[in-house]
Amino acid sequence: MGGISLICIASSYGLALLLELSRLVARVPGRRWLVLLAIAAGVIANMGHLWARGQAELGFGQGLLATWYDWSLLSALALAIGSGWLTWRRPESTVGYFLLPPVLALTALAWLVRDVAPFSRHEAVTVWRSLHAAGMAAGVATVLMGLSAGLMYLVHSSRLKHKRVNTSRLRLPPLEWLQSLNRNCLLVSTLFLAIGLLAGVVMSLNRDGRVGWTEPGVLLSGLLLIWLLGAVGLEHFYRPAHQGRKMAYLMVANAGFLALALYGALGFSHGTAEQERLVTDPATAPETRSEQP
Amino acid sequence: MWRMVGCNHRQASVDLRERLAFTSEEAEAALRELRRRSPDQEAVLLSTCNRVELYTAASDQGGMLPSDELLRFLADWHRLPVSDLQEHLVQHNGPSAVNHLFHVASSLDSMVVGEAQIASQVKQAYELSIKADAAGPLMHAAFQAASRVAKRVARETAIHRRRVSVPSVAICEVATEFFSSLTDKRILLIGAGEMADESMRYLREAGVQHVLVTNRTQTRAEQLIVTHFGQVVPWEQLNQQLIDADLVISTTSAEQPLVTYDQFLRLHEARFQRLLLILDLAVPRDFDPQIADLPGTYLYSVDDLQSACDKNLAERTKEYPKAERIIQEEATRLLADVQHRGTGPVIRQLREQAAQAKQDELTRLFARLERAGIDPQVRSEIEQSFERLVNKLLHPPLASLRHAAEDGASHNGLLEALRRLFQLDQ
Repeated sequence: MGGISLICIASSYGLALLLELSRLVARVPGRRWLVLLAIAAGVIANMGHLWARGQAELGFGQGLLATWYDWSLLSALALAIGSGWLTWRRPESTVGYFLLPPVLALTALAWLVRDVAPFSRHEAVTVWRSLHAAGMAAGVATVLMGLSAGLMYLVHSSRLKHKRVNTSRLRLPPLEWLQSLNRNCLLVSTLFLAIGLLAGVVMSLNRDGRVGWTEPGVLLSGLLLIWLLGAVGLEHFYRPAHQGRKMAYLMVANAGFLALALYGALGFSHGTAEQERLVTDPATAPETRSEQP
Repeated sequence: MWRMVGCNHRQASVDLRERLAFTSEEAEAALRELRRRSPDQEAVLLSTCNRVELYTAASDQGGMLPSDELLRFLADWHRLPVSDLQEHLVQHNGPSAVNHLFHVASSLDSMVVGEAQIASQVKQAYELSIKADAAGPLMHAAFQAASRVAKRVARETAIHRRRVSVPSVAICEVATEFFSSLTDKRILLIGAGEMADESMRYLREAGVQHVLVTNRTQTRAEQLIVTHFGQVVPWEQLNQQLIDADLVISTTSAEQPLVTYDQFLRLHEARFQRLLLILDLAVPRDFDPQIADLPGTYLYSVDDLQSACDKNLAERTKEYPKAERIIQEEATRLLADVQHRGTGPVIRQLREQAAQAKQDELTRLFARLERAGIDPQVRSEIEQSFERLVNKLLHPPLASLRHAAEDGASHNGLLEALRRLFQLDQ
């Protein structure tokens, strides 16, 4: 992993862009798969490079993923994953024309800021904590919106099955729209919670040098994310689950897991000063803690 | 000054209405003939499937044909005995005729209250009258006001907002509960009869540009898409089309169900529970009612839709008083306006006559005073004094005339009195 350089990452993304641009001049059989392969290679290289840097940063007692260089590459990674996802889902669209240049620009930015001094661990913790909180809060909000959409779907579907149309007292959006909202809420909430959880892991590593996996808040949030990933997989690979009531039931189940995760976070003072004091082993506390004012 | 003679769905049977109906060419010829017989009379002939009504108007009562002559005219035109029509005909005179026209134009007098077609039919009748050179200022005023009434009723009440025919409720109200838009949906229309024809109109209204049409007799489906739009698919592909469709509208007159539960169950599996709305507008039904129990499939029959239609009709009726108020306002406004216009020539003549008398007297007076050397300021004072005198004398009769016109009361007697008293031209 340590051998992966910025050149490898930029070359993979650059190749994907070139393949996309070749649509303008020639018809290449299987081009979509080549583009996806190039993006996947870039993503793997990007992740490997960041992993190797993270290991090194921890080894040197620096903040984990706490440089402009790291953050540029992280942004490039997120955008590249988004580009790959859209290329996969919308093969007829040329989204790469618009998404891959910013990915390359972010990679170039990483190269330009490679010598900028890293942030301290304390500063890194602050940044990652904010991202963790924002990701989790947005995830919770989206799961709840999905729950509302799911309930609306079930109510509306039941009314329509019983031929109760055109009632001005309870007017709901079209069934098709609610179904689409359910699906989007599932995807977006999974994304936000994944970001929130990963940010939490990086924050813990920065703050404590380890992750308290057995802590109820972390454990149940992880369980929620695994459930959501499973739901996304089910929705994607099991065709009847794309539709109607099954999707609505999934959204209601998501809310159940969310309630569990919230119980773990709030019931055990996750993230509060008291809890931090308990989970932090003074013997393993990083030296850089003393840098804090 | 207005009169209406005719028949409509309330008094006359379909058979009589059909015998009395005019094509637009016949209506134009009839209007020209009426104009020839009575040059001072204006006329508009409204002929739809639910009514045949002849509106006439003249500024002078003497210029109008009496009701019985209008009745005879209609009977003669269609070579019918007058006695056949007499008991089924309805007539309105004066403000009542205007009131009736406004009810018709705003669809309050329609068989289905709130139907939108009648406003354009009234407008077409008026335009035909203009073309036949049979419309004058009174018809212009009445029909333009009728058009205004129709627009106000449509805008200010909810009378037109609720749909009442089965296909319109099915497509414009029920389908919108399921789909955000019909433009990108795969729509299958089964059958090519009258119901299919009506459904096509509402599909176009909903913005649909592509429909797949299938019918046992393919030529009828082809005729339907020539009139409307869409693409014909062979009857043999019905099952495959049911698998692919998002919305199915079935309108055949088959005696037995087209799609049984067992047959649909196989199609349902191939659909992976994708949302499907089936609007079964056929009587007897084309789809087995048990199909409605399958997940993701929603089946609506005519009975299910009829209750929504009845509810909408009841909602429309609630708006009736609001529409009535608009009609009363506009009728009062029209009558006052027309009467005010009728007083215009009398007022103008009266003012001109008074101004002339004043000017004659001033000329004679100043001729005498000039010899004695009159001061210009005194001359101006005298002129103003005469002007005030004339105005004071004219004010009471003119004010009485204006008030009579504004009240909408008949003021012909007052006009006549003024003409005689002041010896004005007729």
